[in-house]
Amino acid sequence: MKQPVNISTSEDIAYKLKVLAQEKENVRRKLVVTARQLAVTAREKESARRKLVITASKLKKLYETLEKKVFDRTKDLAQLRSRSEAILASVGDGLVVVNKEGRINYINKSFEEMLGWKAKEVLGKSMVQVVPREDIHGTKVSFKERILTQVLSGEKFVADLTNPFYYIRKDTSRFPTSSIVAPVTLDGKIVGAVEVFRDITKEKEIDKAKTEFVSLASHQLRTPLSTVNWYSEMLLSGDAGKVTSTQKKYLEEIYRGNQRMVELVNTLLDVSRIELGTLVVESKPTNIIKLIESVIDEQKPQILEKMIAFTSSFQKTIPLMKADQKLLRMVVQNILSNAIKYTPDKGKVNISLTLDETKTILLKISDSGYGIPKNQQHKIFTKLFRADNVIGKDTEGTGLGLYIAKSIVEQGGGKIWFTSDENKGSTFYVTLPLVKKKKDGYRRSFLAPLT
Amino acid sequence: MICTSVILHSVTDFYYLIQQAPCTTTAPVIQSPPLRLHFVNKKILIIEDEKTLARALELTLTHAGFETRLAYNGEDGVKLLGQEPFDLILLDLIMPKMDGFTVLTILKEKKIKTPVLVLSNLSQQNDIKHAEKFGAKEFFIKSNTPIATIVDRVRRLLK
Repeated sequence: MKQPVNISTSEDIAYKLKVLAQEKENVRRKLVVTARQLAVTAREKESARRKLVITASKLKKLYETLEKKVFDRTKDLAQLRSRSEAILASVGDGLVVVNKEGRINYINKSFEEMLGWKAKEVLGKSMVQVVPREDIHGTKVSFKERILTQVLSGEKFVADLTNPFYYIRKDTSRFPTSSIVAPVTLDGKIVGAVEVFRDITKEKEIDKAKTEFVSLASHQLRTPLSTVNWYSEMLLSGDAGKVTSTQKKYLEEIYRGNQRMVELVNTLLDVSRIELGTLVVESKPTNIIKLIESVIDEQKPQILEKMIAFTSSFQKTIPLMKADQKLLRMVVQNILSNAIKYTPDKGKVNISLTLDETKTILLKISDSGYGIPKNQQHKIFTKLFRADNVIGKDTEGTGLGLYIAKSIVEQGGGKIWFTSDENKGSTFYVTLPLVKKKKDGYRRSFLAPLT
Repeated sequence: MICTSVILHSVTDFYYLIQQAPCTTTAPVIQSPPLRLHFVNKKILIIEDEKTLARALELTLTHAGFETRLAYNGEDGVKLLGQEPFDLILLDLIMPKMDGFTVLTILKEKKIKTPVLVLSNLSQQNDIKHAEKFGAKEFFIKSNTPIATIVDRVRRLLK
């Protein structure tokens, strides 16, 4: 049975309809809000999308710029590198860069050409081992004595080797070189070194030709010098008639002037012989003390004339030694005559001779003379060099004496050096080793132990 | 032409000697009686191509009382050696036609024992050695040797 329908009143219905309409309106409103919200979201989304597009294009642009920059930079770097390499390669001098251990990092084309090694053969290897060095007498320079080693260890800063030496090629042939070695430093630490070297065969040839010319010219000069010597001597002796005192004075000037020229020629000949290697070395048992005493005797007149307080001390136990007396004499003569020449009147000169436990003779000649200016001390053994402070005092020096002394001492395996203070004096030291070095020792030494 | 005269030598030497030399000599000749006759007939051969030097030696040695002969090259020197005996030879090394080394060799070959003093401007040790090996008694470098030293050496050798 059907439930009786509660029939409401028309007001009821109207009320209900009103409520429904209200709800509908509410829903509609909500829908409108939602729609609005959706529209906003869509707008936001669109703007975000737009932003993204913009960013993406910006990024793309940036990326492209960056890529171009990298490309350009790389190109620049490559250019720079190839330019540096081209420069290094086309440097006519041999160039080698080594690391801290002395291992080869880089060599240039000239290195390859001069020494016969290819980069791939030597990279990472020890420069000192790959390229042996010999001195002018053909003696191999030891690892410790190599300038590169000394520069790497900080012993020497920049080494400019003015003394020529020889580099040995891959095929064991050799050529004379001169080189400059400089350290590479990073934060004050030595991290490697660069060596630049040159083949000086041509220079040596020119130098030899010059020396030969000097030798020839000097010989030719000797004949007219003999003529002037002998004839002025004959005039002085009165052979050609009585000479007045004025004439005698003039003749003596001529004779003295000529003597100086003779001595200069003799010195030039000595230099050329040393340089050409034509000095004949004759070692004989020698009493070095006697030899020095005879040099002192020879210079007595000058010592007396300048009233120099001359002292000497010789260690008694110095044995006879084998030496070329002529050469040894030249060394002592040159140093001693300098000491006397460059010491003012009433100054002091001392000569001493000692022997140390390594069988090395030390000759020491000191004076209280003019000394050598500090800024010129490095040039003192250079050929023809004369220090400024003595040029005015003595016009007879040639600037050859110490050059000769050094050349001779070094050929004998010895060393020569000095200390000097301007206006206080100088002391020259010479060592003469009596013990021959191993079998590759100095071949042309004028010194030898007496056996 | 040879003439005899007595000359007064240098004041330092005080040698009065008899000299037999060509009369053409330009040196002062002072006539005085002979005091010493040490070097009479001692004859020296000078072989030297440099004429002024040869002449200086000739003058000084004749003043010192020696008889001298001059040759301006080795070849002429050897010729003179074949013609007459000499007591001493002063020999230069570098000369035209025949050098001093060759002269020394020839002397050795011919067994001529006349002492030879070499006067040269060569001063290389091996030249000196070479000359001594070939029989030179002594070696003088001309520019380094006063002429008085040479005369002195000659005197002592021929005493």
